[in-house]
Amino acid sequence: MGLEVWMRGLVLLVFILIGSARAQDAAVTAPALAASATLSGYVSTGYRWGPSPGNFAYGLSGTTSRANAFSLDVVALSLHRPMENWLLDSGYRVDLWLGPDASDLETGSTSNSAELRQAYLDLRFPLVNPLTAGETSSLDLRIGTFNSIVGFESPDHNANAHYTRSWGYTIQPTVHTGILAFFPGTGRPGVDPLYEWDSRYQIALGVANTNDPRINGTPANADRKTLLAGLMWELPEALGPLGGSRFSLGYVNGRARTGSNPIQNLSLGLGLLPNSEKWNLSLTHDSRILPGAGNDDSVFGLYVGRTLSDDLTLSARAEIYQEGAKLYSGESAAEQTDGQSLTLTLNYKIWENVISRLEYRWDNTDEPVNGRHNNQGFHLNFIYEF
Amino acid sequence: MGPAASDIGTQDSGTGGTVELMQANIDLRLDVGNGIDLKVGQFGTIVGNEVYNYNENTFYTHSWGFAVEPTHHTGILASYDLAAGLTVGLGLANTTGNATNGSSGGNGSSKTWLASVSYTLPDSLGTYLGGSELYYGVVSGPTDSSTGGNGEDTEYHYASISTPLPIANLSHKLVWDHVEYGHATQADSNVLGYHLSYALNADTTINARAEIGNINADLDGDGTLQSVDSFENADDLQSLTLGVNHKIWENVTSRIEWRHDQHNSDAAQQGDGVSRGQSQDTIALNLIYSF
Repeated sequence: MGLEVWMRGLVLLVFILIGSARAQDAAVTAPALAASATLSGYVSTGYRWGPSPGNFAYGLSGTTSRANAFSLDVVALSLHRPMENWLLDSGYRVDLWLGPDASDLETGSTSNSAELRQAYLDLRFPLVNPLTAGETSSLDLRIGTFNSIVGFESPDHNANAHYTRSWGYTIQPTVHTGILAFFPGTGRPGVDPLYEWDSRYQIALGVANTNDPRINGTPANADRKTLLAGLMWELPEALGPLGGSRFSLGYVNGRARTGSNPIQNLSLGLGLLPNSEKWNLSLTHDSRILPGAGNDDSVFGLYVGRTLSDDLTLSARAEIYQEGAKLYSGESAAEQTDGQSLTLTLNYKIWENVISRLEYRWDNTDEPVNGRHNNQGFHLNFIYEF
Repeated sequence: MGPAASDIGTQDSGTGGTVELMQANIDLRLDVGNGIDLKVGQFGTIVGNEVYNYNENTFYTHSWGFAVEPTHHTGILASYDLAAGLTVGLGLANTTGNATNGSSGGNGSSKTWLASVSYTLPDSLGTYLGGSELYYGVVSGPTDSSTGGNGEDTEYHYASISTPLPIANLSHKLVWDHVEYGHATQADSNVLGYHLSYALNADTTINARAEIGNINADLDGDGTLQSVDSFENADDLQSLTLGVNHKIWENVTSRIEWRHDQHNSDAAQQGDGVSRGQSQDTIALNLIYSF
């Protein structure tokens, strides 16, 4: 290791210590920091309708227990204190889910009507002094239980363009318990580096207990950790019409709490038409790779959004899936199948703070699932955000 | 949150925990006429005089009328002011039961409907009628997939009336809870209640609640109906509750009450092998901090 590298490390250490002293000085303002935390959340409720028995075979396409019924999905509460400056800074987030969907998170050891959705600390280590360098750069750490870096859709209903979840979502992990590092950190206060960043690229690396959502869950061999890796890259303008498009790659390699085989999860995403005010287009690929031949699940997705007016948006999702192991819980061996899916969602803003949308979903499978090749459903969804 | 959370039965499956949803819904207003108010999600029922929330009831202990009525539904409820003092409500829900997202028989096609009307008489009707409040609500539908289904709807009726009284600080209310069960073998439940309240001063109120009737209901929600010597099969039910509510601290409800219940069914056991006789007396002290 050269002298220059050592010197850089020394400068960085000194700077961190200086920042630490400033942070200690700032301790007297703890009440002010506490006051900056915000409480937000949403209530999601809906109605699902299918033409006849046998629909809603797939849990996330509507769940059989909620077919042809009103549903209260979840009450989500979030207490969030984001990082706000480029010195040594910290933040936290606690997301709580109440209601029937809470147990679907599988973050708890038993099924309950109240579960933790996320709970983590954000810690910032500045890499340069923004007061003297005139620029900002940091390494951000996230420690606790947090969203996975793979997958295009979120467990949160209000974060997705559609009410029902995609097939890509079904095969990907949702949350992990561990540590995740982002470089460079995000440039704007309050912006989650997992979803937005200001530089041309961002790298994420992390380690977690398992690839499944159980908080503090460990595999049979607890020394076997799960590796998380992600890359987000904004394509250069030199690429012409692709310039400004955003590419994301997420990779998770680890074990579940049960079973001794490693599981690899890969997701690729490309967000196109970055300069269009009316259109958005995304291509996605999700795969789950298990040991042995023919056990891989993969999903190719196309998302298209069209803003029809200030209040009206039409979203479409098309997916093709190839099943190798298992796409959803409760699936029998005879129901292992490839297939395709189409979801159309009309989102019309009627009330302030309310998402109101009507959705049509069609799933077609090569093999009959619950006795049917075709499953169709209509979904009405209201979400109040606060 | 707490031990009583599991009592409300709103969990979607299994047994209730120490944290359960009391209500979770979205209020929406449609700009039609005077404005149609919609409530979507999981909400409190439209029948019954009392609610689960302790601080919203006059007494600490709940009435028998409360015991035989549903408390929550998952669905949609609309209300509309037809005229001054006259409001109607109409709704549709999955079931009459409390379970959030509970489903009925027939692949969910069998729904529960809710309807209510409330009317406050105009002051022009005079001292003794003006301001009187009349209310009627009905809930009809299956309980859940295990106990109800197509053609086995249970009807829950509730009516109340309160009128002004000539004595200052004295108020009263007459309430009636009536349940017609979908199961052919289960007799109706009827509870008639009378509530009287007198404010001695700004801090102290004396309350009385008297109830009579007969009950044939699965009160503890265990899926069985005790056939003898239980308030689940209580003929000639009589109940009297007297309470004093005295405000000592700001934001604190402090009250003490005495309650007597009796019925004439055979005295043997209440399903747990313990003989208690036909009557029971209770003294309860209650403190609530409201914020």
